[in-house]
Amino acid sequence: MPNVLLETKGVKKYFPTGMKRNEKRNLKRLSLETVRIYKKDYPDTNPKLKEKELFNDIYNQFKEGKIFSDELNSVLVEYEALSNVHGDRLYVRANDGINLTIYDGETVGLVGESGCGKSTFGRTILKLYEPTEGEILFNGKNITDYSMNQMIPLRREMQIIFQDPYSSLNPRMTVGEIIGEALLEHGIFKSRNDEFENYVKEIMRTCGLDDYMIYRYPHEFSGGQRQRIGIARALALKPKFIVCDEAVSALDVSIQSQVINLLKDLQNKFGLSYLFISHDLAVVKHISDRIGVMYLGDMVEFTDKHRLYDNPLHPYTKALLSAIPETDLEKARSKKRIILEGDIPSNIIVPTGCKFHTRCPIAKPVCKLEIPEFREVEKGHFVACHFSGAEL
Amino acid sequence: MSEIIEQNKGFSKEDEVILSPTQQIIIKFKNNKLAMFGFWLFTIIVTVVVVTHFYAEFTGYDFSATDPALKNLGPSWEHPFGTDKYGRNTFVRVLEGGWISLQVGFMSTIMAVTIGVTMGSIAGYFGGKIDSIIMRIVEVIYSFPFLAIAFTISAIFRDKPPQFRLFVIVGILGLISWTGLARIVRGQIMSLKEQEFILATKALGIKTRNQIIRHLIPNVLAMVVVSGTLTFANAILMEAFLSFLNLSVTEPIPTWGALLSKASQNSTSLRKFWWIWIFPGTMLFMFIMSINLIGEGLRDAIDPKAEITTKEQRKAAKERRKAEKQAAKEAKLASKGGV
Repeated sequence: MPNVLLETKGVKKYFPTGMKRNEKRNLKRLSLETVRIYKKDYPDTNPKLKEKELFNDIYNQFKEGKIFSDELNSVLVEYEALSNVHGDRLYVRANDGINLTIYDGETVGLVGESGCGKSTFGRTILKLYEPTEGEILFNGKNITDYSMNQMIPLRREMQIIFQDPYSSLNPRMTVGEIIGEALLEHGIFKSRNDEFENYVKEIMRTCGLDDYMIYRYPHEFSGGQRQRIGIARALALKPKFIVCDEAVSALDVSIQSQVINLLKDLQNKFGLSYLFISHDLAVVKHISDRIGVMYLGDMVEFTDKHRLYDNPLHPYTKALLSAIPETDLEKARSKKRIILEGDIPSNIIVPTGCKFHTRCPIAKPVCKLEIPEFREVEKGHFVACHFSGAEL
Repeated sequence: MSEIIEQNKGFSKEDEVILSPTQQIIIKFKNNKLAMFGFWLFTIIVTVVVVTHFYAEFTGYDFSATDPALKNLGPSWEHPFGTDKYGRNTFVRVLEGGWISLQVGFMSTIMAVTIGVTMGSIAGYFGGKIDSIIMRIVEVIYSFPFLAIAFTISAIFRDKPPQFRLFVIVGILGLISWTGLARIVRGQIMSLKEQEFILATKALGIKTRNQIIRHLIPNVLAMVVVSGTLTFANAILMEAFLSFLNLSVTEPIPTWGALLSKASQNSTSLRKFWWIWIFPGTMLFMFIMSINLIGEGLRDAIDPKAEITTKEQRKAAKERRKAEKQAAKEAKLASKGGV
């Protein structure tokens, strides 16, 4: 078993929105509904009582443990749940408790819809964002509470490649400066001598950039070349672990394959580990050893790539995989396309229970109430679903 | 084979000229006609002023020496800019007057730019409480009445030697004019620090100080250069203004402002002895204009995305415009003829 390189335990990252949760309207609607159902179920109520007083009476009885009819009970449960969260501060829940282990020399893929917190997770484990909760262990060291300055020596070992090749390069620096800056900063080279320049050129060649480009500015390059500058910058420090934050989604397909093969070659050469974030399932399948599927800040399924593509257990994964276009006509005809209803819910006011229940084709009442545990169904196959493996 | 090579000449990688950033800036600046004009004007004025100053210093030229026989003479070969009412040579006095202006301009601009950029970038980068504190300081300084302070401080140091009073003026100007620059820099840095390349520097483990110095400040440099040249011009104008009010360096040391002030003391000298005020005025105007032209040119040269227009391109554009004008004229004539 290879060494554990990076481990996260229940990492949460919330971004404060500065607003508070206001459920007044919903509470009022629920209270009116309660009164309506109550009057229907118990016709012999005192008609003189005002609706508000009647509702307070019913709610007090419910709190004391009195059991009404099922319909009334469910409305009251909802009312209680909403009144508990009324007035809470609102956060964008980008990551809601993610456990992940990355071993030496492997590639972990991370897929999911836009806005499900993939990039935030990638940046949080590099401590570019402070995690709200949870622990991050790198090489066995707990780096959760490290300050900026404490992180600096660790930056040599963990790097990131950004999604946007346009805003991630400083427009006032030449390519040589961009790639070589960190080398001088970390004291790998003492000054800008010939040795340093040769090293930078070597890195540039590895990433498919020519020597003569060293004095050029980023705006003189195409998007694909800029992305390679970004990759060269990350690789110059010879890190052990790289987060590829949608590193190829800005590129066209031919350049994508070049860059991905480059990343694979480099992995073989230097024994790198990647966290490969993407929403392109074909790319992730090609490069990853193990794949995690994220939905609305949660990891819903995590396993190695063959098992994920052959035997997905979570309904969301199934829906996602059914959306991959098929080039084989025979297969395409027999393939069942699962279409999810509705949009991705807000990640500020998240659905209760299983976050996927609003769109899940097999959702049961229990999904609305209980948060499913992220458990190991088979060896090395983690799923967060009450009905994992059920037919859709 | 050789034909193919000939055809590809100028298009292959081997032919690509590698220019370092500094060379690129110099080429761009040189191709800017107006900026070069400003640059030469500036160089000539500075050289003449400096040479005159050291000439006067080494030959022991006496600025307080008067000669009633040479009172209010017009420009002549002996006295190119004429003489004033004490019979002093205005030519030497005008050139020497620039020395004070230069000193005040350079020193107070360096002071203002240093303080402004430092404060602005600290406020913009760290934000929060630090930002509030710095911006409140800026607002307080911004609301100081400049003239009242200059008056008061000058009055306090009235008995001190002229060189000391010069530094006092530099200090006042520097301490008051950094606020505008600080605001500009802060605003720019606040928007820049949200860009991904700053996140990338964090990921690379670059120290905060270097993030600001190497990544943020070069990106606001164009603004700083323009603002700096304006500060420079403004400082010289302010110094002239203070001399005009006799609050700066006092007699017998000449300054451009003081020379103008002398001339404006009565309307007779303004009307009759025009050479007393027109030469220092022209010098002041040309100097400030040249600084502003240089600033404009530098801004374009530092921006890597700004395009160069070479001499040939300018010529081509001129011809194109001419042709267009001609075409428009003909079209107009044709339409008139048609009606």
